[in-house]
Amino acid sequence: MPIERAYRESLGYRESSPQEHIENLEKYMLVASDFVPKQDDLSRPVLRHPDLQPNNLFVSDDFDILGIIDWQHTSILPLFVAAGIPNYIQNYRDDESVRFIPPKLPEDLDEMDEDDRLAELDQYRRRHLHFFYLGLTQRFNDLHWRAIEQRTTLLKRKVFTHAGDPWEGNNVPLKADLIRVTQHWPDIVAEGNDGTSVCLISFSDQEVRDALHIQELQEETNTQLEMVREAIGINADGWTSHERYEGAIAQAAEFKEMGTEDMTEYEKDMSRLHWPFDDHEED
Amino acid sequence: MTDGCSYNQFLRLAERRLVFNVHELKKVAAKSLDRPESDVKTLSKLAEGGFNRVFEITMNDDTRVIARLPYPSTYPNRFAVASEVATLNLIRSNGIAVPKVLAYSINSENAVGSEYIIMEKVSGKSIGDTWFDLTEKQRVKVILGIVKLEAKLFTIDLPAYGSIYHPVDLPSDMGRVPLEPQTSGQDFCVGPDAALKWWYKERSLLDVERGPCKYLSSVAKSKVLTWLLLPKNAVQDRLVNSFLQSFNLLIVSLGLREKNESGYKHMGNLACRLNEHTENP
Repeated sequence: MPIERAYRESLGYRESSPQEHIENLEKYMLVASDFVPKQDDLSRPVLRHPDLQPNNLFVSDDFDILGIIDWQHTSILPLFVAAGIPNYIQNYRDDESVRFIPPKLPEDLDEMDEDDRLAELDQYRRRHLHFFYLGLTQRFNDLHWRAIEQRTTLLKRKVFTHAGDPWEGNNVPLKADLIRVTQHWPDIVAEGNDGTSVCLISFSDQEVRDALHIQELQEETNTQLEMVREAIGINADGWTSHERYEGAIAQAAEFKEMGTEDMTEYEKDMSRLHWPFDDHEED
Repeated sequence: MTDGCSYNQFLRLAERRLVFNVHELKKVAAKSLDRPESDVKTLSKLAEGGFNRVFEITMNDDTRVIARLPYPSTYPNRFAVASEVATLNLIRSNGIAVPKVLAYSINSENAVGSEYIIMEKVSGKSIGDTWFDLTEKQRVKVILGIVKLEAKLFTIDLPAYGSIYHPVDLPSDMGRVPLEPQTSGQDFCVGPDAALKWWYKERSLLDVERGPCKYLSSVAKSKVLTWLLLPKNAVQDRLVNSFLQSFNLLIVSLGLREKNESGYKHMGNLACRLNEHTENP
């Protein structure tokens, strides 16, 4: 079963088979060479900060960048795999951001009630970051822009990441990625080295339906987890700073209550057993 | 002085237990600034990150330095610190704002009792606290700063994929690809990839290639990059072998997450063993 308990529900609380993951990795090996882009410079070895989050960024009172810290575990990767918007700046889950639409605040912002208003402001903030990162990259980092504007860059990067991650009992991310590879094969070939390359992997219609459905559930869970983590101030490994520890425990309890309000009895039981922020076995 | 965590408290705390010699650390910090030990005023813990404990050492004249000590559980031993130091030095010598390394050790058997990096404290304030409250103009300014910094980073010419090291910090029999001489006069090379996931837990026991991987001419290129696109990189003349080894690495990473009493002493061809195991769950 997935180590991240929040994913267990999406898999119907069934165990995942490592054999299936091996098969998917073998499929990956069949298509990986087609990922190499046509243009040589998109394979350029580049350095990027492994975790560009606000805590690692130091600025002056005037917001000039004075230093970036925490470069542990930095890898040199081909540009087409390294390319993309840093995690704290991206807003890929939002359609408008993905379509590069300039962000706008709604006109009736001041008439909204407080909750809606804050939600709109936050969405605007996220869109603003994503949009300007792309725009400024286009102007000031042409090489990066050319990698980003390739349609298949994000997908290739996801496949690479999911294929390399330690197996944690969840086969779906890699499988869903590979399914999308088969669906976007013409684009991959168009941006690759061999214009006539045939896709050597396939999935049954049923497999496709199941995997993409579960992926959707898991990504919803991801968004929820992210929001909860942001709200209770802990990072993905469960650590929180000392000052926020007491508050975090209280808030986790509150969230647990909130989360179960709308569920059926069965889901409530499952949720209680599998709430991700309680102590759990790591085996 | 321990920070709390919301779950699996004991497991995490055990991983992070680090016994080291405070006195020796102060000595090392003072020495990195060319000052006598008596010049050290205080040592205080600044933070506990995901991989390191961070201390601040203040001298009598209020000069401060940062000491980062990895947890014993932080992988990969030696390579993580070695690579971070060389990466910082390389980036800094290319005019990008990162902390200056004053001293370091990749040998946990030293007087301090731990690997460490002593570096200058970066000026200014972390933008973490104000990140959500920035005005539009401030946000754009920050993003512009990041983008320009990335542009500069991408201009650094690198001969291979992997991670950066000073040649002296790698075992002499380990493959490496040297960088062109840099203005700082220091030597750099590309060595094994130091990203955590290639070394995570039992993966670190695997005797497989992690790089460096050289950029080659077109025919070999796609093969090499194919192999690169999986875990892990091969020096060109051992391509096929490493291809199989990397596959084993993947298999092992799967197998090791399953409950298995027998443990793994030999990291050879584990495909068979895993098949056995999945047939008899």
